[in-house]
Order: sequence, then structure tokens, then C-alpha cells
Amino acid sequence: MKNFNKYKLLIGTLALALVGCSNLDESAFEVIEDTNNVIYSETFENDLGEFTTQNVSGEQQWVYNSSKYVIMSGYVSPTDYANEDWLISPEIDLTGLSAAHFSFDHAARYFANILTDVTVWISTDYVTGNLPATATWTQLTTKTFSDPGSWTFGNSGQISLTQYTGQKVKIAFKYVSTSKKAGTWEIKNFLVEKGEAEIVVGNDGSEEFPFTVQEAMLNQTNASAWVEGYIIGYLWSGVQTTYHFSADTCTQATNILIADTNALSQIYVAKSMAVQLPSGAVRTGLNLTANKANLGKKVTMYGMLSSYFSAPGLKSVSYYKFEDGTSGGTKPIKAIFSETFANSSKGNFTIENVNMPAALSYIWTPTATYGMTASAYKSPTDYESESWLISPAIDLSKVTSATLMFDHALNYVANAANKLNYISVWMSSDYQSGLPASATWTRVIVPTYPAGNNWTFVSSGNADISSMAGKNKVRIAFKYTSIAGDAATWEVKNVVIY
Amino acid sequence: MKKIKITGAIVLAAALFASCADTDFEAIPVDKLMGDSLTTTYTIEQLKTEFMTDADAYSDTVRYLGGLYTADLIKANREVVISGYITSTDTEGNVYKYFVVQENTPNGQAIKISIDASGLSGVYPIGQKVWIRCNDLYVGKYGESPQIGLKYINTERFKVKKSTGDTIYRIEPGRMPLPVAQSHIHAYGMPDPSVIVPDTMTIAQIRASSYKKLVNKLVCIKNAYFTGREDGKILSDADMIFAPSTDGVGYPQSRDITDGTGTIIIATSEYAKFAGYKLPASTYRGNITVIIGWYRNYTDDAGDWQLTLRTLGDLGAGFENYIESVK
Repeated sequence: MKNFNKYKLLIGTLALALVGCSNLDESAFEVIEDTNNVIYSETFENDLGEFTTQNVSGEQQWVYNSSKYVIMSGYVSPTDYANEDWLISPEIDLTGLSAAHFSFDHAARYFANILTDVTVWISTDYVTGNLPATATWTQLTTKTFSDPGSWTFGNSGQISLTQYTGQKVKIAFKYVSTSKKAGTWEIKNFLVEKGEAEIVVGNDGSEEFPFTVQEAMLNQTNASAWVEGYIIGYLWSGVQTTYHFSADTCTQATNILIADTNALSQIYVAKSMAVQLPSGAVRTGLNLTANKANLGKKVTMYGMLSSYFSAPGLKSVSYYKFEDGTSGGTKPIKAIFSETFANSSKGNFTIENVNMPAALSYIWTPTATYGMTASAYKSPTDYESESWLISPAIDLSKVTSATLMFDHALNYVANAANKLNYISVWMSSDYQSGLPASATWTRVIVPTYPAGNNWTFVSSGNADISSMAGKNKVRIAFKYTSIAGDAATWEVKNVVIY
Repeated sequence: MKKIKITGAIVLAAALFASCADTDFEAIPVDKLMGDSLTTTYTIEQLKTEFMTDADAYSDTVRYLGGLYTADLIKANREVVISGYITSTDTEGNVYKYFVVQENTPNGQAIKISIDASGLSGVYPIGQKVWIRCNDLYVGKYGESPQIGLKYINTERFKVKKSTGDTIYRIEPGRMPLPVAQSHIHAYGMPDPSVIVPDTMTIAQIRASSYKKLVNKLVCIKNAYFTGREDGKILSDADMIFAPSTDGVGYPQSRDITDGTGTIIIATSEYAKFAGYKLPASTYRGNITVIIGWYRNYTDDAGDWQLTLRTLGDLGAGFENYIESVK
């Protein structure tokens, strides 16, 4: 900006000086804006440029495509292949700067979980040519990526690098796929610029930023979220499934259709989403059989983003509110922290094995649908063990009370009377890292435990952790223990602190 | 009855002309004005049964010997003449270098006539009765869909037989040059688009039909609407038109319709006049008249129906407000 002002002044002075002595065309003195904010740019028009690739696993790699972008896909028709592949920038010099940001255009489609499979990282100590694991990488916070629904490139939005000014960095695009689902990620127009990032907040499915219908249809994660749209009709499910964009003769109270528009000439089946109305206040308040006037109204709902009528849908809606304030159902609690452990993810939790017998390679392990699972049984032996599943630091400094809730199941406890000895939940405000014994832990009183002899998940109930309120680095730990001859299996998911 | 009326009008016109100018030549006899009338000797079904083979060395595999691409000479020691009424029009560019002729008999069938000329509808408009003398033409299958034309050897599609080293090209029915078409096709009388009434069918009924009998026929689907999808995939806002550009690749673009009984695709050329028109919203529902198409490109694909709109006007009762909105 300083340069720019100088030029302006100089040109202005020149203009003044000249104006009196000639009738030169004034346009010759237009102020030329100093656009030299670019620190580094790579369009990927011709090749990978100075970027390098690291093929951590899987045969497929980041490659240049002659349509002027780089592409990584673990899908080779008709097969999905497991891959981890990094596309890494050359060194980008941020020394002498006070603020910087970068952006890129991309299209990421067909991922199992776009939030974990498509990520952007930064390192200050990576040496080009080495495997990524040889350096320290930090994941950069981007706006929530979603499948754009077509191969049209979208902009990433500006991602701040101000935290890294004064340093030399490398930025990496990390692609992950599995043999079950391999997405495709295309990138072009990578641009690093001076100045603060203008961060446009995207919708994230929260109450403040509910998903649009289109976003909800593209984020069918089986997780719960807020969705906003117009009520435009209902689905008739008989022998034939028919979309009805009217309420006139509606006798179907169990669902409604929503869309991002209520203009009849803009409504497409493909852009409308079916919403399941469970019996009770939600069905009573929303269905078009009893509430024909709801047609065309904008509504915000909380439910699960899950397939319905063989198409993207919103199920198990528990709460709704109209623009005029009318609402119904039970408003979901607003979580300070939540981790579902869905899709074989342990989130940002860490595992500390205090006592793991050599016969086992793990005790806690993520699963696709049962959350995190702990067991020290390896056929045919029940081993003695102790293993902790520890949450990331959770900031409770701004609250005066806090409650923990989670779902859990317990099976194969030989002696049910002992189950409280085997599974327990702990909290700490001074844990840093490493073995749990390095910190002070207090046991959390969990109201409800599973029976111990089946796979039925039960809710823990409200476990009070208010003694941690006011602390800024609170950890919650799930401690699993077993003894020789009695090693149960504990499953934990949907951890929420509110 | 109609024929007689028309004849009357022409006689009257001839009479009028006769009365106001001296002519030193003989007036063209009325029956000649009507064009050539031939005797139909084959139904379309008979023609296909007798002359169309499954000989497709290019596509055939051990598992499938049905013939996806073929071209067989129509060779007979007697006249092979089929007849019917033209049901297609190329005025809006979606039908290109062919017309479709359909028999107006019970269980009549239809076939595509492939001609290397555009603007065919000027000479062969909808409703035109034609006889086609097929001797020395070819009947073949393009992606399993029958048509009459000449033999075309597609040198871009070939495979090399391992045992002999022979190159086997894909044989397709190709377009016949216009003069060839003119010598084989005999139009007769004034066109009457009302002769061929499209069969009313649900999508489920179409899907349950034999493509061999139904292909190329004119069908009306009632209470149908566009879903905004392409082969099940949700279209982006930018692609919510009949046929975005394929950048020269050239295959028609699929847009799903449903009538509640099933889903089927309408395939539109990017060169159609209405290619860039906004796809009708799903709130517009009504009669959609189409030429039934069928396409099977690979032996291990099932093949699928693809319907063709001749003009935007094939979106009938129920789409009036849509048509008004894009005018």
C-alpha cells in the first residue's frame, strides 16, 4: 500500500506540473494501481511448475492435466484404490511481511468424507523431496469444502498465512482415498498474496450458518445439521414415487420437500430434498396435509443428513423454526465440543497405551459405524491391559458449567459386577501429552453404563464436568482396562460437551 | 377422404390457370403432381427380419453375438418396397441428416432413413407419405438401432484379430447421398401430419417393451416432467439446459424425465435450436411427444432408451407456460 500511495503522489504531481503547459490528453496520467501484491503464483497451466509430489501410498499420483490443472484421483474406472498423495509447493518466502494469504481454484468430488480426505497443510521445516512424515505439518483451516456437484472449479476462499509471516513455508495439498471410495481433486490458480485474508464465512450446518438445501444434498454425512429452505411440496410414496409441488390435495403427512427457491418456475426434483417428519411436534407443525399454508414458507430445521427416498435427504428432524418465530420440537443443545467418531475417524483424540501386551497391535481402534472401540481380547485370550483415549484440549474458559454426553456399548464382560472397574471416564485440566500419569485426572460420574453383555448403545446421560468450567485446556479421557481372563469390548461414539 | 379433397383443389387450381393464360404445352397430369405411387411389398418388420443380420465382427464377443453395428445389402430378385409416413422434422436442428418413417398400420413399425443432406424436411415434411424402394440400399444397426442407408466402414473403430493379424473395422449403416435417396424415395400426395397418431405410453410401458418393435416410433408420455438430472446425476445450475456444448465431442446430452412410473432420458443435440433453453422446471408437467430411440454401444452394457424431441413443440399440453416463458 505504501508503494501505491507514493506512485499516486508522484503521478499526481506530474499531472499538475504538466497541466499548465500543454493540452496533453489527461488519460495519459491515469493512476496505475500497484497490483504487485503477488508473492507466488502457479496457475498449473503448463505443468506442475515448481510443485513436487509425494506418493505416500497407492499407485496413483498427482499429475498435470492438459486441460490446465493438476489432478489426483484414486479412482481408475471401475475401481477405487486407497491412496495418500501430497502436492507440495516450493518454498514461499514470507519474511519481511506483516500479513499474507493464499487461495486456489479447485473441484473435489466423490469423496467418502471430503472434510478429512481433502486437506491443506503448511510446514516450515519440510525439505523438498522427502516424505511428508519427515517434517512437521499443521493443517490449515479452510472454509468447509463440499462437492460442487459438477466439475466447475470453485475458489477456495482466502486462507490466512499471517501467522507464518517472517518465515519460509511450504504449502501442501493432501489427498486421501480408500479402496471403498476414491474421490477426485482438481486444482489450479494457486496464488499467494500480501495482505490479510478476507475470510468469507461459509455455511457449516450450524444454527448460525445453516446449510442451504443444495449444500445439505452435497453433505450427506449421516451427521446432524441445521438446514434452511422453502417448503415446496411433498413426496407421494405409493407404488410410484411422485414429487408434488403443491399442498392442495396433500394427504401425506410424513414428509415434505424443501428447495432453495419457492419460485415454481425454478423448482427441479434434482434440487429439492425430501424431509422426514417423525411423529410428534415436528410432523404436526410442518406437514402439508394439516398446514397447507406452509407451502412456500422458509423453514430452518435440525435433522440428520441422510438418504431418504433413495435420494439425498434430511431425516429424524427434531426441531424446526419459521421466519416468524414459530417453532416446534426440541431444540438441540449447542455443543462446545463434539466428536462422532463416525467413518473410522478418531478425530483429534489421541491414544495412550499404558499397558498393551505384545500380542496386541492396538486396543483402541476406530470403526466405520461403532465409533471408537477398545478391546484387549485376541482370540482366544483375554489380556490384561490399560489404554486411554484422550480428547484434544477443549476450551471451557468461557462457561460456568459443562456437561458431557456420549453413546456407548459394552459386551463380553465376564463378571458384570466388575464393569465399572474396566471402563471409566476422566477429566484433566493439566494434561499436556504422553502417558496419562503425567497429569492430574478426576473421574467423571457417568450416570448410565451399558449392560455389559450386548451391543446395544446407551446414552451416558448428562455427566457433570462443571468442575472444569473456567479452564481453557480441558481433556476428557476414556480409560479402558482389562484383566487376564476378562477383557470386554467397549464402544464409544457421539461425544458431546455442552 | 382427404386425398379426394386435395385432388379437387389441385384440379380447381389447374382449371383456374388454364382459364387465364394460353399455354402451348400440355398441363401436367394430376396424378403426376401427386408424385410417384408404388406398391408396398414389405413391412418394416419383414425388411428387418429378412435382410438385417447380426454380423458384427467388430463388437461381437464370445458372450454376445447380437450385432451392435451392422450394414447388410438389401439384395432381392423382386422389388423391396416399404412405405409409411414421415414423423420427424429437422427444422429445429435436433434431428439431423435423417428422417423417420412410420407405418400407419396396426402394429406398424418405424425406421430411420439416413441421408447425407440437411434441410430434409423441406422435401420430406412431417406427414409425408413415402414409398422407399430399398433394393441395393443397406439396412443395418447403429448401436443396435436399425436404420436404412449405405454401408460405412468406420476406420476410427477397429481391432486387430490376434490369430490372423487382420484388422477388423466397425461396419455401420451410413448416410446415403441425396441423389441416391431421391432415386429410392418416392413421396406421394400432400403431407398430412394427422395420419400418424403417437401411441400413448407410460415410461414403465416403454421400458417393458421390446426395443426391436418400438424403436423409432412416435410416442406420447403423459403427466411427464423433467427432474433436473442427467442419468441420475444432479445438474449444476449452469447445465440446467437441454444440451450444453460438448466442445465438439458431439454426443447428445441426456436429461431425465419421469411420469411417476419410471425414469427415462431425453437426448438432445447441442446443435438443436433449443439446446441452450432452460430445462423446464419440475413444476411443469404434461404431454411429451418423442421419437423412441435405443442405444447400446458395448456388448457388456445393457443398452438404454433415449428419446428425441423433434421440436420444442413436442412439449405439449401442460408445458404452455414454459413455452411462453422461453419464447
